[in-house]
Amino acid sequence: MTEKKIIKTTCKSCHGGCGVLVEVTDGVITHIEGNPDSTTNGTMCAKGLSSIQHIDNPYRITHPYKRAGEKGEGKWKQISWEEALDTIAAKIKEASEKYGPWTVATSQGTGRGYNRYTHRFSRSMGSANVISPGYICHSPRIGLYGLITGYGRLYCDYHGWGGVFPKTQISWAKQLEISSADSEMCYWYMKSLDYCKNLIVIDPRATAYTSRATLWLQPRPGTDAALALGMINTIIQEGLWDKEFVENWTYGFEELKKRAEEYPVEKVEEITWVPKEKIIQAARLFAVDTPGCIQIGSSLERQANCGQTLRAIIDLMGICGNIERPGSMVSWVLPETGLIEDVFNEIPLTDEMRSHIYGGDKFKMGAARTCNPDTIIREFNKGEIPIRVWISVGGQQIVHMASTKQVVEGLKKVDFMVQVDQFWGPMAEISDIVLPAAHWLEMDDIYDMHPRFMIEAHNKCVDPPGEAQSDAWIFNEIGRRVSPKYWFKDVETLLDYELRKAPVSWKQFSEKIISGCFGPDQVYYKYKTDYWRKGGGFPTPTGKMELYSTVLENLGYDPLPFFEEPGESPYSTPELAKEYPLVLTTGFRSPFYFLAQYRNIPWLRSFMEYPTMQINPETAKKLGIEDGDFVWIESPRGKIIQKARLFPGIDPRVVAATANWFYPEAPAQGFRGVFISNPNVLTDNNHQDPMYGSPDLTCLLCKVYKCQPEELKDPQYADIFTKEHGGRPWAW
Amino acid sequence: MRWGMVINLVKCTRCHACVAACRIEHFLPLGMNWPRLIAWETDVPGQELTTVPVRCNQCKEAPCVEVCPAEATKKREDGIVYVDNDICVGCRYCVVVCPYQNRTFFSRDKDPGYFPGYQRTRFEKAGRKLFPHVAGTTEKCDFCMERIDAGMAKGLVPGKDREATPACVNTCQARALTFGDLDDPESEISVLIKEKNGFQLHPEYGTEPSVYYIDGKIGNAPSNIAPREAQTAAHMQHLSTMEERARQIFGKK
Amino acid sequence: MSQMATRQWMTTHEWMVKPMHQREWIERRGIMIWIAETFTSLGAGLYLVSLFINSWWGLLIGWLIIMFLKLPIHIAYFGKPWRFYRTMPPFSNAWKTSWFARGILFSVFFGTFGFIQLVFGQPDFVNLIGNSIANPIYYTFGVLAGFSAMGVGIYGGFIMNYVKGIPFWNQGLLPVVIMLAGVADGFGLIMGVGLAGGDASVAWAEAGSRYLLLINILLIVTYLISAGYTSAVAKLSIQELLKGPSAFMFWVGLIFLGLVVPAVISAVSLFSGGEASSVLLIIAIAAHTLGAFALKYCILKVGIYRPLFPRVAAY
Repeated sequence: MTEKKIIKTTCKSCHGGCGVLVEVTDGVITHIEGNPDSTTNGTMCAKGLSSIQHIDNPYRITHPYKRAGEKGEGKWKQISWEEALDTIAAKIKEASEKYGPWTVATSQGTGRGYNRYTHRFSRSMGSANVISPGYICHSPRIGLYGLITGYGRLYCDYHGWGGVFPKTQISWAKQLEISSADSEMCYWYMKSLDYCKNLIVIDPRATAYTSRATLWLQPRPGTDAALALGMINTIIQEGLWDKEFVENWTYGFEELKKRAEEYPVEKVEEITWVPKEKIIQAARLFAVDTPGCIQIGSSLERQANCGQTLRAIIDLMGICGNIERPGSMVSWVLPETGLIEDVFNEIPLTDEMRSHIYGGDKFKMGAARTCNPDTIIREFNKGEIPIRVWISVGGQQIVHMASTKQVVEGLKKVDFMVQVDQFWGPMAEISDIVLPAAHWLEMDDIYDMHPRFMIEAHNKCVDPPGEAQSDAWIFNEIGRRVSPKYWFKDVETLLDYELRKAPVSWKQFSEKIISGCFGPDQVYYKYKTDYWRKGGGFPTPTGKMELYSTVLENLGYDPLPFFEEPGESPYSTPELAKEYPLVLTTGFRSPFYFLAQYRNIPWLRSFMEYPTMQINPETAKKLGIEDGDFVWIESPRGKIIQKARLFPGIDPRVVAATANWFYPEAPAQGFRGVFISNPNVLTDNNHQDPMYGSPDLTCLLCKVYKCQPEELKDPQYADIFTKEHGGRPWAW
Repeated sequence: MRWGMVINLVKCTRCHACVAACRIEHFLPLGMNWPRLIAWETDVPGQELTTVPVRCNQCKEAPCVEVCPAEATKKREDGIVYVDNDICVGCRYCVVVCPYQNRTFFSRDKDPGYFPGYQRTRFEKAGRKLFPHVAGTTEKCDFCMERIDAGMAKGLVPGKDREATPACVNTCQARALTFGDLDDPESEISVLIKEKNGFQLHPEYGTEPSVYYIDGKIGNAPSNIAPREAQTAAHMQHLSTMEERARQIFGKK
Repeated sequence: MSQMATRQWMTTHEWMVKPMHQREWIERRGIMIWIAETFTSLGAGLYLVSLFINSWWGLLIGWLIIMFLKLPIHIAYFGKPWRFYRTMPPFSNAWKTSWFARGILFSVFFGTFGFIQLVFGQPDFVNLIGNSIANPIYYTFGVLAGFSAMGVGIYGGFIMNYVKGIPFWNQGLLPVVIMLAGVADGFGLIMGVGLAGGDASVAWAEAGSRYLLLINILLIVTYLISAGYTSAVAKLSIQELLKGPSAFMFWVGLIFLGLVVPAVISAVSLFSGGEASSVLLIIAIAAHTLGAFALKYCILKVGIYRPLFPRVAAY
């Protein structure tokens, strides 16, 4: 008898949120497709669909393991959950008592629904040293929106809930079309483009939409602040700003005007390499064809000028009045019941916890609730041991942090490390205990990522492999052993607690609601009502949108945006540029990989086998590089191998490298090939944004030269490059 | 009635979801690609990056149907060209003759499983029963004819109702694929082809493909269209149920 | 053979964007097609030439080549060899449109008619039943078998000629080239039959071979020139032949061994007035046969498809 059932759940293959229908026949998943009754209307991407290859994947971690050899040797001994959890709890207690709770760090990858567990867990132990990639992704945006408009959850209103679609859309360093990342859903974005008058794409390299957009600005990586200020200047000089809004609802327009005057388009053209005609045209379109919105991509947050770049862009929105207007940037209205994610910051940060945040004294914006990871690595390399116990879930800090070699050296000095993961990666190989995590098809949880318009349920479709467990279970179990006060008797109680403000239990929610969308209840022009402030206004110290930020002034930062050259560039370091003449940008998105994930999923690896760097054919010709050659990319910090793709859509002076690349098929020695192709081997963690501590990951200098065939035979990576498909019969 | 597809090259973002959806729908062995994406970059402004999703063109004058010595490749009344894998002798003449190269010969050595050297996954094993692939024969996209047939038997309309529409069309997040009846001048795809000058690949071969492409630019929407009017009634209905459900959690604003 | 060739990668940047080679009929198991096609040419050519000069031994060898070399190799190439009967009536009426099905029918007719002709031409059997009965049957079936052999010899050309996506093949001349090359190969082989003491005249065969070689050289040159004019992709194919990866096969195999060596040897014999020595003849026959293999290899190997989007790719 075949028993067939359809389970409704939610995808979490990127940040997630797409509704999914899973067909389970006799306990086996036989089909996955989008759920038409969800916010994404039944569409799904390759990453989500290929989730099927996580099930029965022989490379999954299935049991808890304890390290049996040196770090990075790849020798492991299987242990029971009981032993693993007790050991972890004991280590945490020991470190806490001996060195203080702040030496226990919790780290995570990008927010994948475990944010609320990692933060709660860390705070429940009395430590605010959460190591998260937030400082180079999303959190500067949220923070600065909050600073300037008083409320952080500012999103592009391309859903049309206010009655209009954005007329002008700027996609700034963002490829929302291939990733529903940072809680914006690509489905909605692409739908809104049907009704868009002008699409302006700002990207140093051609993307699917640059070649189809109304206007494509191709700036030099790292100069976006100058571009934004140039646009502000153009708008002010031409008198195109929204006079009504600026006069009544903004603070510091005159100061901004003065600052912007320092950026005439001619100068901006010189800095950014964008022709001034295009800058002027973009500025005019955005100012005149309102409402408009700006999609900001996280590449801007991986620059040492990240804070001021974002400030400039937000001021650009402000002077055009593209705030709180239907079809522009809108702050999300909180539901009456508050956020499910309150579980995240329910436990307050005490002053003592704050005082021990690493980097907190320096990066007053970025290291206020979480620590600055680069500071920790520097401490380690100075010979200190800032972190004794490191509990890591999901993320690959080794891969995404600047200066990979230093990160590995630093992490080797941590007394005790735990990695919760699905597959063996660099972070697992450097850990002392590895815990098996469940995939989203195998767990019960609430989807409430970067909470905004929707709430959804992850429903368990099949059992996890071996003894793997969900993140909620793992954190609850460790939490129960360390700080029982804040944790629960089982996962269901925990999920019920997360939903405590709603009139339903987890069970009811997972069965009946599954996917709910709250967007259509948006309130627009909140500043004109009593919503934030009696008599109208923004929830900022001045009650207005602060083009001139009084908060930043008090913190000792420049209250007005300005442009600063990246730490390494042909202009800031002309001497270095003689040896390393090309500007390197990293971190562009592949539609079939999510950050460091999915290189071990055959269906997805078949789309792009090796990390690919893009280089202009003109430059390539000069360097003797042909399409498909393996090339070395070298910076003063090291060199990596990537495959060259001759790409006319990139400036001849710039090359772009695929980021976050390690080789899951490589041996544990050498941390799964993390030094071979990962561009962070090349990056530097010393030049950081003064507000957020973001290092220059997307703008540095490099040189590129052909990798000789005999160099590929180096035993370190011979298997990967010279064997037929790297000896991965599955990777095709 | 002749089923056809319009592929909007403006909207396609090279995301490969159609390929993945097909792999799931038909339990494709690793390495078998029914739909594909072809991609290139040029220095021609506006064509810096081009992606063309291709799949079997279901030609009206299909060379593969003509050359098949065993009459295993057949054309249905509704224009779908399919391979009867119980008859196909595996001569590969159709593979060679297809000017679009959209056919793949499936041999056993092409199917070592998703993870060679390991057990087949349960999904693979189930697939061998639910959608068997016959080794030694040729395969290609058939516009998900099993979906179309099952859906039409239920009275659904391919191209409008999900259940009767090809899997790749359903999953496309950019909504770059449109499916429908080419013979009906009122159908969405006929209108699209007419309004946007749909073109076929290599029409000079005289194969009359049923897959059309449209090209152009994003933007320049005539005026600001009120979103509520822009949505279909079904979508509005769907949104309001979603709102209602969300309120059970969030409460009133 | 590399795994790349066998496995269908999602090679987005090459697949049908760059001009792509036909692989199914030359790489891996496709080698069988090459060999079978060559035997088709050799067998059919030999049979036709033997018919012309009435050499029973030639007929027999030609028939054996088709029946026991060409057909089995061809069928073994099929993904489902045991289904081969499905290509023939009454199981399939594909012969109406498909040259492949027609070719198989030709082969079947050829096998039957040829067999009857051979039986009724076998001297011992003729002696047994008498000339008066045997001869009419022999000649009737000779004509039938001859037409079938022509079909067998030429259908491969039509098969390739039909492929519109490969401009180098899609030339009207191709069937003629293949047919005439087959006949020339037949002349080469018949010399061997004569040399081995069969019922064929070596001198006559040499004379015929001389003219055909000249015609073939002209034909191939014409073919390359005219194909070069038709499309940029056909030009690519020709470049591959002349100086690309297939240049060795083309210059050494086809031109030198297949055409120059036999032509020089026949010229030597022409000017020395009489027959060349047997050693030279054997060299000529071997070179000729190798040339036949090279020709088929060259044609199959440089089958290059036109890319899918000629608007941008300039093809």
